Amino acid sequence: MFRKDRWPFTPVCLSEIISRERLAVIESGCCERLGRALTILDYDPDLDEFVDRIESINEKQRYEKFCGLLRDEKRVQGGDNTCKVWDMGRAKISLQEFRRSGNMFRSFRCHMGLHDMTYLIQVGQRPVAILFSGQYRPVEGIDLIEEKVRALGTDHHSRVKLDESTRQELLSLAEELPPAPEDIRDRLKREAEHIQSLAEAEYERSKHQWEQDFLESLREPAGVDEADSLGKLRQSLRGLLKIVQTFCRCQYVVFFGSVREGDTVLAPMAEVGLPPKIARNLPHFNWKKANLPLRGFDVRTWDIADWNRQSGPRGIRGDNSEYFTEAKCIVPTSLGDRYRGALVLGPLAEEIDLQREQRFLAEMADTIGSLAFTGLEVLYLERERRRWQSTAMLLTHQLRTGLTPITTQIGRVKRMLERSKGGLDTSRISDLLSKAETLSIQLAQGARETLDGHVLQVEPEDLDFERCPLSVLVMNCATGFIEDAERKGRTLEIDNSVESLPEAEVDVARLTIALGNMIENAIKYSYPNTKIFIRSHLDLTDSTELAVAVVEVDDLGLEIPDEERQRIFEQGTRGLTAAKMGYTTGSGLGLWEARAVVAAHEGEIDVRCDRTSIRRREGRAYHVVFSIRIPIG
Amino acid sequence: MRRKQKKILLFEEDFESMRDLKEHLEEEMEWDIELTADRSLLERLGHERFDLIVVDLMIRPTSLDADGREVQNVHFDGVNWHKIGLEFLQRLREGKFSEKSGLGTSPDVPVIVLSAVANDSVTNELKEEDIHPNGYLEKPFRLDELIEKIHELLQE
Repeated sequence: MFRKDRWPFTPVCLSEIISRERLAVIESGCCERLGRALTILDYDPDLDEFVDRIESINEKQRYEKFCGLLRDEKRVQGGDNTCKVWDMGRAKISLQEFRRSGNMFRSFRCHMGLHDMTYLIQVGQRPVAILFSGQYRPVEGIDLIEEKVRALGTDHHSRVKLDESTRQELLSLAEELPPAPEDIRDRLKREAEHIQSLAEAEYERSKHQWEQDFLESLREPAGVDEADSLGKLRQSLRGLLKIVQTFCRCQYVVFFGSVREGDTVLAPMAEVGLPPKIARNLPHFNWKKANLPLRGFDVRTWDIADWNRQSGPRGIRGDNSEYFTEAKCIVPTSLGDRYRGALVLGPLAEEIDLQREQRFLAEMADTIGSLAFTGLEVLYLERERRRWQSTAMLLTHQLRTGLTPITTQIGRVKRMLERSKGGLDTSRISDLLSKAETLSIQLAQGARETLDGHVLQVEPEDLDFERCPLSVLVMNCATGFIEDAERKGRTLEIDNSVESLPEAEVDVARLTIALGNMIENAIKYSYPNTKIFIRSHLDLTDSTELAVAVVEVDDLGLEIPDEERQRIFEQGTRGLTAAKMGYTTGSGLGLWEARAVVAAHEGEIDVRCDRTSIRRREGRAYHVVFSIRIPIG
Repeated sequence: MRRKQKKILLFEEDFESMRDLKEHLEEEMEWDIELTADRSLLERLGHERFDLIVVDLMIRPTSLDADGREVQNVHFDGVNWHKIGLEFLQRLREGKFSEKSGLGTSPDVPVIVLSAVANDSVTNELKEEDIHPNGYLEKPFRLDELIEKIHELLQE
């Protein structure tokens, strides 16, 4: 049988699909229905010939007497071998003819002049065997047969040895040869199709079973849903991709996926088989640019083959994207509308028919996708739990700390009362109790601020640093604001430079919040009907220092005076221009939070304000550029 | 004859919430209370004698003093601020702040641990690190209880 580890299990020869014993039985049945000898010649892919004869269970079943005698080694030495060699040669010609014209049936005269036929059997559109039948009297008569019988053992077939009485018997049997029935072609076709359908069914059943076994094994390796960090999740995914790489026999496998819910720019989550210099700087996958629907996507109903020919490869963008032009096989996947992924298989050991393999590829991508996304969900839930836990701990700590001076005041009053000998210092007691009262109110306020702003507790040790392409982070974050900007009459434009940002160790969630706050700020405070640009570049000016990724949010709005620029990132600062423009002022926490997050990344945040020559109804327009600088290590 | 004044270190960075305690202990008990977490403290322990130390486990890297100035607090490389007090105690018991002269604070000085953490993690951690404070109080604590404990440890 054919090897299970050679996906897509391209059929090689018939005997790999149906055992020789079963084929012999099937062949006997064909002979009986056809009323004629029938032989299967199995295909040999190495020789590109049909060399292996599979005979029916009864020797020379339904053979014409003429052929039976000719191939009787006791009577005609070398006769059988000559027929077999000729059959192989004729089968090869039939295959060539098929490749040239597409004709599966071929009719001809054999080396002894008899009327023979071949019919090609294909599985998965590949030739796997050829049927031989015939042994009929040709329409031209038996003159040529008689001539060839007389020539046996002479120049023609000199290796064949027979005595004169056998020759005479052959000549006599030649006269008994029946002509081919008129419907012989159709009948042979029916038998060929019967064998072919059995082989195809068997092949499909085995292929499906082995693919299902493989998918099961893919689900088995535990760890993906137990990873407690993105790094470990990636490691587990790499293990899965390694299994895929071996099974699908491809050079490399990459899985791009949403790092956060709703992402349309997918980060490379795991890869195997890539050269280190490519693996270090992987591209990302842009779901929208690949022309994939944002809602209701289902890979099982998606025409992967057509999409791979058309817009699929356009999804791979950014660093080293050109390396993946040979990928040929990209399989998108999604978990509802929340998570999206794309499985990219590098050059495969053999060409595959994407349409034919669609079901399996879709299931494989879905399996990896759902494992990855479930892992992410678990990870995020765990992080959320930890965040709330630390908030609860912080709150408890604050309450306990805050209560300490209150209990101290109460303790002092109590001790004063216990120790008073007659005259009480009521003024002192009143002071202490007032202090306790004030402290109680302050404590309640502090607790509320902690609950309201627990995300603002940003310290490096609180961050979950992961390696992530900044391109993906910035693209996803900015894309999320496009609709909001449109609703508020601004156009958000993401410059192509963003796609070239490299990877960095960042807390994806918090840096996304920080950048989001900056974009939100730009949407809020820029002039209506203007454009907001998101662009980036790498700052390599000081070669002794780490390279720095710079992301800029550039809008057109009112001037931010120097003194306000100094304070704009301070907690509680309100946008100066807000009131003037009739906006509701914000708390200013957004930019303060952005600075805290960027600082925790050892980065910097800045704002500059350049005067333009543009005048608007609201006043002169200024380019306001907020920038964050993140060291990329 | 007036008894010898006892010197107590209140190793705590939250000056604001502890200064009333300091004031009371000084007024009523006539103990000499030093409320600080300043970095210079570690060196001072080698030549200054404290009779008792009250330690808060969490010491932030900086805090504000009575005049609103930023103070650089005790810090140990690679130790999270949540565990500075614990590390301080460990080093104290190992005699890392003592000097040969024997003039400073003894590694066996009585210690009372204060903690605002609400679960058993602190006591577990103390056990794990084999640190045995002479007293342990959860914030907020009863003033009487603290005073009683200090009396007990100072053997007054």
